Amino acid sequence: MRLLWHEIYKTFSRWRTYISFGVIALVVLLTEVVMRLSAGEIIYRMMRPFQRDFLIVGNLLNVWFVTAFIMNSLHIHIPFLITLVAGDIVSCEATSGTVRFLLTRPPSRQRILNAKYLATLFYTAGLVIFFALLCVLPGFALFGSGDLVIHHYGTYGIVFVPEAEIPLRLLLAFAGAILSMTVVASLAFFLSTLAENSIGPIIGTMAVVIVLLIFGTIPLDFFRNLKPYFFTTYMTLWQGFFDIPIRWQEIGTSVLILGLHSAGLFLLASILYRRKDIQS
Amino acid sequence: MKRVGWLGLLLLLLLLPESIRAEEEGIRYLKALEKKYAGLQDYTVNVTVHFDIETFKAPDLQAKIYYKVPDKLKVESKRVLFFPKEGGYFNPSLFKTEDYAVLLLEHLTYDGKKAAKMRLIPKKPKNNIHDIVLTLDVEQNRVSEIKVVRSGGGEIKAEILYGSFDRFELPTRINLLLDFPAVVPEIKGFQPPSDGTKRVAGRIEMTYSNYKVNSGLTDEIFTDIEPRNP
Repeated sequence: MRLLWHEIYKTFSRWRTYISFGVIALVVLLTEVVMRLSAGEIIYRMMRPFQRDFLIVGNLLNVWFVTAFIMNSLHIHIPFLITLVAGDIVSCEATSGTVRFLLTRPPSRQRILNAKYLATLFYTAGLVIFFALLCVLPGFALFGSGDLVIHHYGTYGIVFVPEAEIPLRLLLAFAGAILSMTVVASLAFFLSTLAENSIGPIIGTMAVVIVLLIFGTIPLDFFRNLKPYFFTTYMTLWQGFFDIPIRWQEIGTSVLILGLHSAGLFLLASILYRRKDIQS
Repeated sequence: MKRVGWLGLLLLLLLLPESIRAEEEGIRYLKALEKKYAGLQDYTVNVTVHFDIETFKAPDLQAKIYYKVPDKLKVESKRVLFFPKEGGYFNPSLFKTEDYAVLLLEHLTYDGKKAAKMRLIPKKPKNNIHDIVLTLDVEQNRVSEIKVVRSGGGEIKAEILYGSFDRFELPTRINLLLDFPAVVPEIKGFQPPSDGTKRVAGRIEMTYSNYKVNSGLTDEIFTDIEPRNP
C-alpha cells in the first residue's frame, strides 16, 4: 500500500500529469460556455430533421445533454491524454536513471509493477472523474436540469431518457468510460515496460488507437469483418447506458472484452518486465 | 375528328354542372362546420402524447395547450416534448372555404354515420401540404378524419373522437397515423453508411382532458410564439 501511495505521489508530483487535467478543463469549460452562448444554433442543428414535423418544447439543452454531447465529442481524444502518464510511468525510471536503484530495493519487481499499474489506473479514473465533474457541475449552473433527449446523427429518431433515471445512468456511463480508458492505459503501460524513454510508449499507444479507430470506420467489408477484434470497437460501451432499454448484453460483452484486454496487457507487461535485463 | 371535339364539348357541358354542384355541396359542409364553431374563441386543454413509432423511444408526455382563434397556439410542458405540428391540436378555423378549392369526393358511412369525403387543395402554398382529404360527419357537422398529403410524399392521417365541452364538441382523442419519408442529413466523410430509418411510420395517440373553453385568453400568453398552421 505504501508503495502504491508512493507511486501516486510520484505521479502527481510531475507537472506532466496536470497537462491532461488542464487540457480537459480548458476544452470542457470553453465548450460549455460556447454552447450556452449559441444554444439556439445547437438546438436548431440537432433538431433540424424534426422541426418540419414537431413543435419542440422544454429545456432540451440541459446539463445532461451537454454532458452526453461532450462525452461523444471527446471519447476519441481523451485516450491521448491518458497515455501522457501511463506511457511514462515505468519508462521514466530508465530515462531518469533511477531504475536500478528502484529494483535493488526490497520490494520485488512484480510488487513495484503492481503499484505502478494501480497508480496508472488511479490517474485514469481520476481524469475521467474530473472530466465528469467538470461536465456536470458547471453544466448545472449554466444549463439547468431536464430530460435527456439523444438524437443519433444520420437517423430520424430520438431516445428520451427521463430526468429521474439520468444520474444513475450517467454514473454507470462514466464507470464504463473509466473501463474503456483503462485499456488504453494498460496498452501504454505495457509499452512503457518495454521502452527506455517515454516518447515511444506515448506515440505507440496513440498510433495503435488511431489506426484501430480508422480501420473501424472504413466502410469496406474487409475492415468491417475485422472490427469485432479491435478493442476500440468496445470503447463506446458507455453509450449503451443512454439507450432505451439499456443495452445490457452489448455492455456485458464490452466489459468482458475490455477487461480481458486490460488484464492480458498487464499480465504480458508483468512477464516481460520480470524477465527484463536492466542494463542502465 | 370534328365529331370527337363536339362529343367532348357535350360531355363537358353535361359534367360541368355536376362538378359545380359537388364543389358547392362541399363548400356548404365546410360553411356548416365553420358556423358550428363560430362561437369558439379560445380553449385550454391538457394533453397526453403517446408515441408508437419504432425510432421514437419516449415515455408518455403531458402538456397544456393554449389555443386562440384564428391560429394562436402555445404548448406548455414541464418536460421536453415533441408535439406534432400537423394534427396535434384542434383548430376549427383551419378549413376556411376561401383558403381551398373544394372537391366533394363521395358520400359514405363513417363510424355508422352519414359522412362526406372531400379534397381540399390549398389556393396558396401551405407548409408542405399538397392537399387535404377531409371526412366530415354531416349529421353532426364535425371532422371525423383528416388526411394530409404532403408535397414531398407521404401522408399524415388524424382520426378524431369527440366529447362535449361547454356546448362545443371538441376532441377527446386524436390518433395520428404517420407515413412519410424522413428528412435525414447525409453523413459526409469517411463514415460507414447509416442504417437509420429513412421512412417514418407509426402512430401518435393524443388524449385530451380538462377543457376550458372561451375563458378569454389574452394575446400576451402567446407572445414570442409564432402562429403555426397545423
